[in-house]
Amino acid sequence: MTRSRLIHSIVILIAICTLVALGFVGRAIPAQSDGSVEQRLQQLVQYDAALNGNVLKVRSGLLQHYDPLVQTATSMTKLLAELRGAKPGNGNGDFDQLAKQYSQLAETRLVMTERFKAKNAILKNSLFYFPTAATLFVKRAQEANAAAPLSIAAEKLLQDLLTFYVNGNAGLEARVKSHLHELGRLSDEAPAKLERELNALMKHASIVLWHKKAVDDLLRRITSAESAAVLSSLVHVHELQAHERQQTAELYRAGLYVGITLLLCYIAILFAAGRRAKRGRSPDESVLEQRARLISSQDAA
Amino acid sequence: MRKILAHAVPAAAGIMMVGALLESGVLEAAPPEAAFGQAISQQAFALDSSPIRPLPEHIDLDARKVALGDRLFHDKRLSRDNTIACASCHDVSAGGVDGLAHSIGIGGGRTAVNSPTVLNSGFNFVQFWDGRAMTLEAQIDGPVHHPGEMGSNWQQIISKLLQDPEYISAFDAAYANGLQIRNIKDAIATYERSLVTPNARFDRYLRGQADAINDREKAGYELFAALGCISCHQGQNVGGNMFQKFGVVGDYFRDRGNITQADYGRYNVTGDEDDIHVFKVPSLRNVELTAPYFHDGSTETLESAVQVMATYQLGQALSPSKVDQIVAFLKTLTGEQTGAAK
Repeated sequence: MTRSRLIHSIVILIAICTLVALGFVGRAIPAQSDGSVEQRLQQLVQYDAALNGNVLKVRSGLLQHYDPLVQTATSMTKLLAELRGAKPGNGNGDFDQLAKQYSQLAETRLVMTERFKAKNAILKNSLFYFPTAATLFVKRAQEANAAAPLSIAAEKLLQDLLTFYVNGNAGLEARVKSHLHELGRLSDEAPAKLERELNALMKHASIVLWHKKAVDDLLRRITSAESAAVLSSLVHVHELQAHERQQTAELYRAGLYVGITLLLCYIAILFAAGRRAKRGRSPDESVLEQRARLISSQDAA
Repeated sequence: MRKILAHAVPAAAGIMMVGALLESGVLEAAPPEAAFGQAISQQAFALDSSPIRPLPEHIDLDARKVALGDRLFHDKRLSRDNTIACASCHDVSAGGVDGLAHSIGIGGGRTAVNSPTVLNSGFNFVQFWDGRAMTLEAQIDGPVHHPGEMGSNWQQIISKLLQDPEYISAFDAAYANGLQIRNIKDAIATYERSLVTPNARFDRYLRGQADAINDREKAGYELFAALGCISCHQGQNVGGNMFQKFGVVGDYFRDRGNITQADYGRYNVTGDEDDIHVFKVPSLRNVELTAPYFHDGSTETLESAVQVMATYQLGQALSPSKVDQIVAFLKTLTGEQTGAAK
């Protein structure tokens, strides 16, 4: 083997090794951005929206049980744990920070959802029973010949509390508190046999008053846009990351294709040069070469 | 060589073209339709007005794991001194409970709270009265390690089970990696998930069989709903899907006295003062079989339990006839003890 052939062979070998390496690296990059993270993020978006939807449905009375809320919360908890375990950021600081932020927000929302479920149940219970309790109290007060202001205060309380429940008006809230205060003051003068009914009436009115505010506050915090915004940013950062990885992979693949082309051209040029060199030699040169080989073999013999 | 080149160059060009087309997405399959947005909107706006839903009539579970879990559930070797099995406190032939206010652990010790039923426990959103375990698998660690219950540990249990060739072959058949702690928990949890009691008379009523319950029971259900019991006891497990304070309207613990650490409920898990006396709302399915009632097992009869709930949760005093109506309704929640439950 001549020196030039050896050099060409080494160049071709190095080129093949480089191309193989390019191929492997190019193929490995998309594998880093596998669909599982994207799928989990999409599911989180879905559950995030479903949690809001279910909480709103419960609050508005369109959903009478909590099973869908539980299913959503369980799925979210599981997904969050999986996402934490998957380390999807691949060392990307923005993604990891957003993922942590969303995880904290989601966990807080889930805790608030549990509180919402409990307080909403209490609110509903008192709200449904309160009209019965007020009617019962007025009836008993009349039967017991109790002072008229007691019945009047109870009736006003019933009307204002139910209206307050619907519109949450601050002026009505003050009036409800005033009625409760009035009933508390009058309770000292009420017949003893009315005590239980009066206490029940005031207890349920207080529950509706305070729990409505608490439930509405929880609803506002659970459905606040912050969590959805962070999740949206998280999805956006992930898409950017995926896009960058895709571009890098494309670059590697383009390099691979260009390399293959160059290598093929190089081989073609070498081949053509070899053929031209063979064709370019004169017959005399061939005869001389044959003779020289013959002489050298005879000398050797 | 010329022939080779004649094929190689077009092939390389072809590869490059295909590569370019793939990169551009022309040859990719059309992306799946983003149907979830549609699904959400359908889910979000569909009305679901029934507070109680029937239990599923059938659940698909791996029969080998259920059988293995059944055996483990009844195996006393899971306790340190081989005297207590899961079934000792959760008798699946007796409503999934032992009928005691406080169950008996190893050495005759008593548990801090009443053993809840294992029937339909797969539908509970968390496990234990204070909800400290999120799953049935996680729950198993509690009694196994508790010094007053089974007082054991997984190393001990594994070493005992490894001496039993039947267990080894059963685990090898059910699980790719054989007898492992994780698989023991999975088998027991799978068995527990099989303990479903479908086709309760009330479930059949919900499914449209109008005569599945009588008028008195229907009146009991209406009362149950009207009084507000249904605010907490709803969903397919008629409870088991939320936490609630025990003593919303009245102070149950002040009236009962002798407050224990266990009475603090969820507070023992979260340390949040809002969670004092907060417990998982128990399922009312098969409730006629699960006396005594409440986390402290303080109430012997269903009638008394209804009165306690009315007093402390609803702020109402119920007449005996109303209590009887509600109890009549509650008894319609007893389902068929099918599957592995005998």
